[in-house]
Amino acid sequence: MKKLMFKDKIALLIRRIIGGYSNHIGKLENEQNKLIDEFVLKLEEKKKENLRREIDK
Amino acid sequence: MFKLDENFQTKKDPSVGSNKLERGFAEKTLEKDVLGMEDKALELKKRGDARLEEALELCGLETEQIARIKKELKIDEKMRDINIRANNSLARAFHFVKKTITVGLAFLAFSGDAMTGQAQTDGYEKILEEVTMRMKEIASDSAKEIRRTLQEHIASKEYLDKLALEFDGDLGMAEDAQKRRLEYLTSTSSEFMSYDDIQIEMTRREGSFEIPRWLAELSFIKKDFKTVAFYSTSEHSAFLPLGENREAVEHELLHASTKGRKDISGTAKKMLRDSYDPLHDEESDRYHINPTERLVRKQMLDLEMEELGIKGYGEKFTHDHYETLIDLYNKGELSQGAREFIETTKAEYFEEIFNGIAGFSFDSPEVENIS
Repeated sequence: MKKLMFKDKIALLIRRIIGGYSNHIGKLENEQNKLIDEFVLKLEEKKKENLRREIDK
Repeated sequence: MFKLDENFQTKKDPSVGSNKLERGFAEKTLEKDVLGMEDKALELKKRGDARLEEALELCGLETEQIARIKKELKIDEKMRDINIRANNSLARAFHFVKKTITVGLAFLAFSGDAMTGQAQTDGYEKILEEVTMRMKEIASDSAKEIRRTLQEHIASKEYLDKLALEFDGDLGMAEDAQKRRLEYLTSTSSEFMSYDDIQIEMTRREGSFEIPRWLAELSFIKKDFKTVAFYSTSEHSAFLPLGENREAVEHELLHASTKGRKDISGTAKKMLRDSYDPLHDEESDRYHINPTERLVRKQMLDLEMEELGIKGYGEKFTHDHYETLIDLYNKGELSQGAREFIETTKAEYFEEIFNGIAGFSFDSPEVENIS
């Protein structure tokens, strides 16, 4: 029983490591999304600018 | 790269199938969680790529306009950086999982009832085996890619031109040196192992003769864990960490590319020594003043400047480039090797070093290590 408990502790530690890693990946995902959002925004601005130029012509 | 779950199925030995069935739900879910770690990093990249692709398809802009915006926002570099950080995180997490299991197993073995302990931990050993295998594969894939990049760099015309400068304009000597370095880089073997094993293998080779592993393990107890990777000249072999560690691999492969030969030009040797700005720490200075170490870091900074779009390799290094480097250094945005080179090089030598030195070898000690 004692060993089983110790084994459970190892499992708990491993899950904590995986949890920490998953959190970090989550943060990276947020960073990635923010970056792409900014990029999409710039693309849209450029598109609008192109349209305005077309209309002005 | 194979898909993890499929591989796990195909590798499964029928004789262990029954054991697997007997294993508890807890082990199975834990195993799934551990093996699913890589998918998280892969999925992050896939989702990012898919979103970018979708945005590009829908925007209807010309390629040139897209390229300009991409460059302005440094999209490619930032996406690559996120991917590298995810892989580093994966490698680190794998490392700690492995360590936890190893320490746990050792503790059970010492606790007296080894047989029961063994039976209790069958599931963990399987996870340990899988984790180690995956980390070796990640390390090997990454090292292959880095070796390819370095081969392209050394084979370039710009590299040859700088070598010719080092050999006082003798193109024949420069071509010989270039060929030699490519051969060394191609022929070096790579061993992938845990940080602990790297430390032990390093300890075995520190003296004038190789000591047995058990003795190295004894002295290892007293050691701190500084060595991440090392290159052994006598074996022409790089000892590299599991998982992904781009900087350590690049560093050791660059050592391998010169194989500790003594064909350094006197001028270059003098320049690297004269340009050294001491850290005023005896141990650090002894290590960093070694021109082989300085040369490797200088070459890594060359590659980093190119990658960051600061300066092409063949392009002349100017004071503006120096200012950019210092700016990035102050913001903490450069790699460890690059930072170390900047910290240990007198400002007035930068232009001379980057405009005159390609990569030359030096009478290096038997073992090179990074700390």
